[in-house]
Amino acid sequence: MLVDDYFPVAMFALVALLIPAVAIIMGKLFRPTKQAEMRNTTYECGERPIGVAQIQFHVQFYIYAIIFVAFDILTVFLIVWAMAFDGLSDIANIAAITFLVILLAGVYYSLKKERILWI
Amino acid sequence: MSNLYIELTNFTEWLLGLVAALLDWTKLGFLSDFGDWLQTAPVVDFVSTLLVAVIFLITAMMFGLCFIWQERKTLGRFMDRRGTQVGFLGFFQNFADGIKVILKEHIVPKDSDHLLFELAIFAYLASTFMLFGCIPYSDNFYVIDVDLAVLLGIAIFAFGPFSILIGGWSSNNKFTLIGGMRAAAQLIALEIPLLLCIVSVAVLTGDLSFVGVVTWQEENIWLIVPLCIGALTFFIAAIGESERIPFDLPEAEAELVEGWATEYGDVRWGLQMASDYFRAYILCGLFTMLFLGGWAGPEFIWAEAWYLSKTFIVFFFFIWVRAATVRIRTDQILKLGWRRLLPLAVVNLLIAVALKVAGVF
Amino acid sequence: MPSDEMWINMGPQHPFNHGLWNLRVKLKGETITQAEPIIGYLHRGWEKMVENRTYSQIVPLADRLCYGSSLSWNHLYCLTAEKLFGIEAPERAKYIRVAVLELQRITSHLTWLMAVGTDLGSYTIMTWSIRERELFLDLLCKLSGARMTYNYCRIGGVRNDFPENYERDVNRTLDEFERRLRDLESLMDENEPFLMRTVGIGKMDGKTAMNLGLTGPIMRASGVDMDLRRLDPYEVYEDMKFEICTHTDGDVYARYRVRMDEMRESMKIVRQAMAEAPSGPIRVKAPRCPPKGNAVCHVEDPRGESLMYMVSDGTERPYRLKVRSPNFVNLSASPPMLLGFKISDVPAIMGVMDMCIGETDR
Repeated sequence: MLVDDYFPVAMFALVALLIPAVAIIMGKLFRPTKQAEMRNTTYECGERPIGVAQIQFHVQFYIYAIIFVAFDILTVFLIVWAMAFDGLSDIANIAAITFLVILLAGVYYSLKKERILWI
Repeated sequence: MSNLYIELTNFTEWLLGLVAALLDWTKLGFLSDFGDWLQTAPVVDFVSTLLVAVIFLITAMMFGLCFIWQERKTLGRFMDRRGTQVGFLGFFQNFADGIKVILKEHIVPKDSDHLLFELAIFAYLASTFMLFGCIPYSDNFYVIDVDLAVLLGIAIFAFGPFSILIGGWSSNNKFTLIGGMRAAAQLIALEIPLLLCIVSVAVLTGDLSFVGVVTWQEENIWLIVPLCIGALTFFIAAIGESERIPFDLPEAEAELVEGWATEYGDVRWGLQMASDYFRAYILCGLFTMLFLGGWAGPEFIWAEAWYLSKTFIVFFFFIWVRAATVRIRTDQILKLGWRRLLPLAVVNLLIAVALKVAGVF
Repeated sequence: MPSDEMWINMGPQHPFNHGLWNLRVKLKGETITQAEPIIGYLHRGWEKMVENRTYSQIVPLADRLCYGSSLSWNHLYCLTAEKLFGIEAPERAKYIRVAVLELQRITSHLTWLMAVGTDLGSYTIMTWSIRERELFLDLLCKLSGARMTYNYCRIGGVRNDFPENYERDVNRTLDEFERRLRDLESLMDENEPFLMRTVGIGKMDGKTAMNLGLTGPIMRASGVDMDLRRLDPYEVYEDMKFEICTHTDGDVYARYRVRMDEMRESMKIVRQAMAEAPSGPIRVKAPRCPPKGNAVCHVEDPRGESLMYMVSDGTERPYRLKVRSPNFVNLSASPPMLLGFKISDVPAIMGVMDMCIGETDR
């Protein structure tokens, strides 16, 4: 049963959530709580911060991220394929490999255009 | 060692029986009913699983601390110094550090997004501790034994970069912002090669539970022999995923102060530092399981000891790499991931398929 | 709509700042589009302070200009003062000075290598170079009794002669260091990540470098053959046989290479100076007050050309003392090097400059 199998996972997740909670509460009991005006300001190497940091960040590896999404989905299919490898026909295997090759060709093409990869 | 679950179920039954007997002794009807309820199967199951989880987590954390100690001592020797000296062979340094961070102040920057700021680090820490459960020590000493245990581990692992990204953004600090973005870049660069190596393992073994993978290796051969290219790729990607030098971009202290964790203080920061080692430990464990035969080995010592000694040896190579190299840049890690590791991983996958089709295994 | 560029303060409290200064950079993503070094956090008013000290009192203060190479500043002050006083150090003192200055150059370069190691993220480079530096600190400690601020030169000579068996000790140390230097180089030259981080980074050609007034190893790395030990020899450098190390690439790796080669040349000079030093007095007496007038002197510091200009009004205190620090000029030339590179390259580019804020801010 799936539920029986994953019951320990849930239990372990519960314990894993408890550990940092306990540690943080422990810290709360022992640590000093002095408050000062400058103490809560943003750290920028001792200078006053110039503007805020929550800007429209220029993500330079954006193109890589797009290839990544395609490939991540590919790996999901590949894992399913690999798990069922024994019972599959040759045609299915060829189809899976073709799928991989098509995506690799796409990656090869985009990596050749290196200039636009890191913008 | 006998099975942890059986031992603890027996212990729980005995313990709950004792409690029920005590309740029965009070001669109060509803308490006796409560005692009977305690002895039913779901309650026993719940309590014993809880006990298994707690015992397993504490054991794993102790070995995680051993990793910190190993890193300190070995790195010290690489650098021609002694490493930590506190207590027995310097082992108590970890506890001294723990006490220190607990006594530190907690500061939330006033411009930050308070809720996300707290939640991000909490998710990061909880996912790290959750990872401990994913790796069994042997077919007797484990918590989680599901069909897709390897995949479960990787899935929880990928939680880390997301929390880093959120934590970096919510701190409203420029260094943390860049650090968070770098964590995302790292995930993008190294996740695919890592997964493809796991796919190649799955092709050969036909199984993604640790027991299946290790049993296959016991019967045939350690996978590092047929899949040596994959082992190398996995090793490099694992160093990157655990954010260690040369790939510790999210907290590159020379350019980003403390990277994404700049604004975190107190016990959160302390646990985050420990988490780096814990995550490295998990990846060393994964490497051992997938390529070095896990707990398989001659039976003059416990299977758990085989697993742990192999893991420590893998971690020694992690430390070696750290001692010998310098940090690389974000664009270089992306290039490395997509131009070097991805082709290697694909070649490795094709080798695995060829071996399987040729009927070697 | 918020912009996608941001100004970021790297300093004064930043791990890559070796000393207190601020590098304000404008980032688009991780790429630097504008950079602006800001100094003044460590200004002690040194030039004004010395106007209220007698000439001999300034000697130990000159040590404090730079923690990395205190002896070369100490020596520069004494050299300038000698010119002002119209006296000259005895021949033996000159040889001793040359030997000790070159030992100081090696320690300074090893301190720099340590900083480069931490900046690039390799603590092994740091600990190894610190270990090697210890060899030379022991030598200098044996000579002068101090490990950092030696206060060894005097107006008109040096404080004391070499201790017993000093030449033997120095030669042994140099033999040992030559072996270790090869180890240290193999840690970097055969290290692919190190090369990835240094080759082609922070490029500057010789013409731009000259126009910006760069001096020292950074200048020589751009292919400009400029070394004051050759161009305008002071002490007994004209009798010494050594090469001027240059490199043509002008990137971070070239700057690193120049300094490593320079350490080898310095070892040659130390050996020669120790062997050829004639016997004789080591110090002449300097008068209390110099004649009216002014003097200017420049020497090749481990970081570049350092210069002192001294004006005397005939009293026992200098009327004015101006210091030209090599780092001040090199730092002001840093923005063109940084533009277009990543924020990760900032520690690499600024690290090989060997920042010393003590002399920059004075």
